[in-house]
Amino acid sequence: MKTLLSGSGPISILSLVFRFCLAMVFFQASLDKISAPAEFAIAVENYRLVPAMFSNTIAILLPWIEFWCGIALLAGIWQRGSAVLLSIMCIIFIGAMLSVMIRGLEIDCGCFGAGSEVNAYRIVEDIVLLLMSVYLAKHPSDKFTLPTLFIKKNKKPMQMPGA
Amino acid sequence: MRQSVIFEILFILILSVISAIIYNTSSANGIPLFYHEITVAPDQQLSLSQTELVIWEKRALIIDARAPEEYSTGHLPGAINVPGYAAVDQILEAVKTIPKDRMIVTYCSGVSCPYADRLSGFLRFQGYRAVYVFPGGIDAWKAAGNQLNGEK
Repeated sequence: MKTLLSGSGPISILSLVFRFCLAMVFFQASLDKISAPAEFAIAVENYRLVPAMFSNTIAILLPWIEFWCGIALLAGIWQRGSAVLLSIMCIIFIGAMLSVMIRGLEIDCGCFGAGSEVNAYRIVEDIVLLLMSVYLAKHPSDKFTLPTLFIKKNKKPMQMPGA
Repeated sequence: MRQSVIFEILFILILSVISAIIYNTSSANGIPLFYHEITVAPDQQLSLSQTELVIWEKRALIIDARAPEEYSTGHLPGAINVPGYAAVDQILEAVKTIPKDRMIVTYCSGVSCPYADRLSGFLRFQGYRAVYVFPGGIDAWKAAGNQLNGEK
């Protein structure tokens, strides 16, 4: 149990799995939104939580935060920063979807492009992503990261000239 | 360590802002940074008494631009429901049988709701020539003591 929580030893694989899961989910989600910002802007406005004026701004910026967090996690760099950002975003998403359900609105959640309605399943999905992000923020994965792969690759035994 | 996390967050945010602006400016799918509310000209707005008259004389097609669940709790007499936030193809499907010269009046829950304006702008863009907005919407209608159809 200790190794599971500390993220060291063979069970540190958990951090690795979470890292790649989060990277793939948010990278994929960002691509759908980046390619259709107008649709995502409507999805943002449908929540009726921010002034309509800023729906475009959010629709332009948010997918890119997801994109770079996904790339960073995939590469294994800035893991804590990415995980903290994703945790904050998940909390906002969960709050927004809960408020939609309480208000009885039936709208597209804008999670993965069009066609994904706000429902309890989406909230559970985001809670799982939140837990994964929080875990990763506490225990970043040190396996298969760009820096470690790069350092290992260049870590050849030094040979003295003429030896 | 906390400082490095803050730097990482800032770095990702700055990178995101730069990428977003560059992509949005250069992409064919780019959208304006700030959404400008569609402004409806004063001569395309109907007052409460004008709306009452239009409904009484059945001169226009009345469109409720709110969500279906809001519409089902009560709407203006004879109004049909076309949510103003619906996707373009859904709106087109809903209005495809309406002649382009038919008088149309859109309304929403009140002055703070943007969907009546948005729907009217879209319909005008689609070639409907007599589209009007009742800005007061449900709030003004109820405040005047008028009954709603299908009110629960």
